[in-house]
Amino acid sequence: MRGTARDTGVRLEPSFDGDVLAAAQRGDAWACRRFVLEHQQAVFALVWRLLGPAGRRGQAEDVTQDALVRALRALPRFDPLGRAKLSTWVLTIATRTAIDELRRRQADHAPLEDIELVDAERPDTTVEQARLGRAIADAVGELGPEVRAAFVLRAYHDLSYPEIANALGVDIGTVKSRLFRARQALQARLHGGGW
Amino acid sequence: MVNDPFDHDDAWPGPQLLASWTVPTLPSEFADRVLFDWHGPRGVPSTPARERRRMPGTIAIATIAAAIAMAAIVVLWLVPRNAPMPVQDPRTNDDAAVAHPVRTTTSLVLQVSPRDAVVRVDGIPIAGPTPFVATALAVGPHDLEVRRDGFVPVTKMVDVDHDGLQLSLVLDVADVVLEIATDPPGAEVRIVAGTRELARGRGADRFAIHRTDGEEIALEVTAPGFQSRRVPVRFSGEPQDRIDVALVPDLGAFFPPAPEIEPGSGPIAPKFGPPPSGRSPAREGARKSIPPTPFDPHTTDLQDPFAGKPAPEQHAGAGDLKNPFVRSAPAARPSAVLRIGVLPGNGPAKVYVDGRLVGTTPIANARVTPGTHHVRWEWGDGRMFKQTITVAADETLVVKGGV
Repeated sequence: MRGTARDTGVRLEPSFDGDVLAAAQRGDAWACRRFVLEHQQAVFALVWRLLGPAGRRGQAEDVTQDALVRALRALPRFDPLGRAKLSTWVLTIATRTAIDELRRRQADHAPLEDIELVDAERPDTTVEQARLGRAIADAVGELGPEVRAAFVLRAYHDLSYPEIANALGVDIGTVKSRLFRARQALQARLHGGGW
Repeated sequence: MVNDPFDHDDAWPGPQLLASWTVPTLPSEFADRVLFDWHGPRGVPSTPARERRRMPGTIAIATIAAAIAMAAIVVLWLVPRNAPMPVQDPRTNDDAAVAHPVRTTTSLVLQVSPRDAVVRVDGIPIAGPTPFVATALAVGPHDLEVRRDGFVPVTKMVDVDHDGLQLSLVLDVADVVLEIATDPPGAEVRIVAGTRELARGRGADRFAIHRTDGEEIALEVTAPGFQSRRVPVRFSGEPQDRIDVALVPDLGAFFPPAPEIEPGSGPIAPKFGPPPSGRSPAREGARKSIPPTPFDPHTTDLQDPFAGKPAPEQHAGAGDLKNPFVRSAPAARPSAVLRIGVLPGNGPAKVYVDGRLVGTTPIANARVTPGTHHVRWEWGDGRMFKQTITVAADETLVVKGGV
């Protein structure tokens, strides 16, 4: 099938409803595209915040791509009537993909990330905001991958404790413990920096 | 400091603090990369991004070196030796300096019946009902798909040029009842899609079939004493269709009974065609000595003409027939040939000899017994023309009917 939504300019519906999900689960190209467009930015934001503080921002797009491909492959097995929301399910896959990547040896990757730090600073952000954002990123970067994941999923993606527990494969008590430690460390770091 | 994890402030940090840690926006073609990674350009799974990242260093270096070399060759070939060095506009950066093809777009407008069909262009659904309008299409070929439950889907490639394209599509009903009338009546009928049999029965039966996209459906009609026919079915698109199929007698085995000649009537010369000269009394007498060929399509042991089996053994019994689908050796008995046509100004007509359909004009080689025969022409508009002719053994007689 030639042509894509981008090529043809055919407008897509704004919502990702049950029919579209069913079509994506069947592998219909247009619906899979809708699925990717629907979730790619959230997945990228998650991956960016998990990899970026570890100095591996340059891998964020590749890991996002891998996570979405994994999600597409697993999509036929997703149960729309199950406990997990589709967005949570996708973020779970992305979290595990990113943590797997973080556990790989740093030496496997070229140390180019620092050059790209400026990418995060959009022209419309003030210098102050940029500094604050960098401070948070640095503070989160000092957390271990699992703690960092728990914090990002809770603070930026609004997952519930059980959903985070499921995403990370731990119990709820562990999630709460990790979140507590994350906030404690962040407060210490940010307050210590004058924020 | 709070050590109990259940007592910490779950709302911290607040939205303002969180919002300061921004994330860049993905490039616009990112979804294409994901889908390509997932399925490749033609459905072939490609190497995942992670696998590509793990390419051995030597391969990566070789790839980069080859790319640089290719780029250098292209640049040297494109830039004339004496041409001045191009001066880059300082207002443009490297990315902007890359020439991008101008994208031209067009539109496709579809009138579809039924109006609530589902229309997809390149796999992407177009909002309906009819008329369906796909705008901002790239000029060139596009895959069009129109579906609705209960109708035969249409999938086709349409070439949309700069001026756009307007199409009207009427979907055919998928479940069709075919009423098939055969001549002779009761002929065996098979409805096939390619080599797959959809239904089997006899003439005058009604056949319920389900049509799918892209299937060529045909009738195979057979009857003993007639040449079998395979006729492609042209559907009207309605839930019911009627098809008339007339078989031509297998004239190699066709010896109709000679009609009785009334005393004193004598042979009648054909109204049209050459004079019946050269007939001898001996030849006249030959016609009555030939027995009629028995014919019963329902009791005949038919051989499937499409299976290519050999003809069954011939028996002398009056109720047995030779295989009608294998042309017999020329009969040793005397025979004559009729060439049957129509007079100018008359369209093709069905021709009956002694009440049996022999085909539609022009008929080049209808072998009959020597003697007198009744020929009847019938046209589709109801007109009819009759003629009685007499033909001698070994004679070829041209007969033309018309009003």
